[in-house]
Amino acid sequence: MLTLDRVSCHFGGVTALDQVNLTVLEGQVFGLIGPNGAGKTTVFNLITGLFPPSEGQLTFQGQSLLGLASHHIATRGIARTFQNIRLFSEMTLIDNVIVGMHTHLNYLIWDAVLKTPRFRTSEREARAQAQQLLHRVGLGDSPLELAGNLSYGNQRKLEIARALAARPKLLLLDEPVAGMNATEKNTVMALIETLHQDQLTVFMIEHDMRFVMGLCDTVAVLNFGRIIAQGSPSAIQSNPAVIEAYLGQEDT
Amino acid sequence: MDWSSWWSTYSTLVLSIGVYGLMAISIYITLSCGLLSLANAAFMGIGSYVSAVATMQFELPFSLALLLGTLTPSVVALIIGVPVLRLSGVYLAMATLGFGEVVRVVALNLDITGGPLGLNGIPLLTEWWHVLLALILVLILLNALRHSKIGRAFEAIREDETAARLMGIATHHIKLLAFVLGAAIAGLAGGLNAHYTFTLSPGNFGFENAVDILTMAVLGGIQGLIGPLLGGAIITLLPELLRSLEEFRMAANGVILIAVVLFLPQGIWDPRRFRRWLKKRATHVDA
Repeated sequence: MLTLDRVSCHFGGVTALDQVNLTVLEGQVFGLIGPNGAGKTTVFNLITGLFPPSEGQLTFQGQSLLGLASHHIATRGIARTFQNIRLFSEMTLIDNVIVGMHTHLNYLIWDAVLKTPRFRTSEREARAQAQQLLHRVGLGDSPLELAGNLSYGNQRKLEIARALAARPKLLLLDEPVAGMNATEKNTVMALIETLHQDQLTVFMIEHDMRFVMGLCDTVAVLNFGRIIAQGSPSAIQSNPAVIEAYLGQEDT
Repeated sequence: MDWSSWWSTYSTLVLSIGVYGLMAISIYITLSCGLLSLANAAFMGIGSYVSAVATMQFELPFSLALLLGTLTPSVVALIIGVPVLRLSGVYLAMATLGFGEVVRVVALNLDITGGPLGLNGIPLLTEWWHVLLALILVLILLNALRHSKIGRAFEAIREDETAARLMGIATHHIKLLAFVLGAAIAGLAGGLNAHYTFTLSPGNFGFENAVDILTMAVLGGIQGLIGPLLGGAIITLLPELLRSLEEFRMAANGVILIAVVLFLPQGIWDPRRFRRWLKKRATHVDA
């Protein structure tokens, strides 16, 4: 579904990514791990078109993503969350989610001005769907709260709801459980499992090993901009190169 | 004082409150989309000159002149918006101020605009209800947009443009829409303004006016449509209310503005602060 073919990315003299090859298959929960500064978020930024790769090819569903503007990539069916949460903090929870539906609301300006039936129906449906999504991530109780007032963990959940609102085919999660307590992690884990059952392809970056190993069917390890290992969670856990680069430094 | 003499004394002031309400709303649109554009005075100038020339030289009906005064700045905004809106923050402010200077200098040097003398003897065609109708229509339009995907896109762009783009919002189109809409409203306000002030000169639409318009929106508050209207009214009325201070009135004007910005940073009309006050009062009563 998503392929990165020998993708490199240089910032000035710094090589953030060096000849990265990755393939995410349809229906997969794919995990990308690696030490801080390894270049994981850069991978997401390239996929979502925030900046172009220095070399290499990015394809999604057989079509190249190179040269496409970010909002076009989003309409192709790729939605994401952010490591450093980027919600619309002065907007309500439900409005945050409805912004995610922007491209699916296909009324024109005049429909809004004249309040035509088409405008009313699509706004009403959007509101109902947004409310359902809030329920799904466990935030259904206070849809009119401001996003900025949520706890850290709940902000991450809201970001997932907003990304799901775009009805993506591929969901990119950038450290979805960073800063969460154990209970919150379990609810997000259960949520991602239901998304997986619904055939959504998930590509996540995460530091929490229990979380990654429990959810992902394939894990890739990135270190200093290079993929040093790729395979099933159990194979990764016993890979000596990975243990040296990453797992060995953690108390697992 | 009876009604007709009151009106003959104060009609210009009343109409100015409406026209500057429109101007404050025109800059509110771009601000609500996160754009600090200071081109609105220039768009107002274009609208004023185009509609005044239309009624004076081409003897077009007032309605058609107003339409031209609205459309011309919109087209100009569409053309300059594409390159200029690549900028943001203070750089956008500088570029739009620069555009304002260009408009002023062009008006100063063209024959059709009367050069430095400006235009005199513009027919007095603006009635009180024209201004009121324009305000009502603009408010209905913008209120509808605010509660649609367009308004949400404006807000999302203001809060986090990158996140908005990654949600599939074509941010450059939406920003251009805000810029053109602001120009159209400023042009309409200019057309109405020209037909009750009798004269126009290039100096009316320079730097000072651009900053005044921004001040109106910021002073009133940009949380909704009421704030800019209120700000427009206050900035228009303040010099008149302070008339008794004579030569100190501009200084007093400035002091009042500083006080408001210091103590009410979100502007005078801030629904969130009102809600907080209500809550506080409710808890006091409970205790």
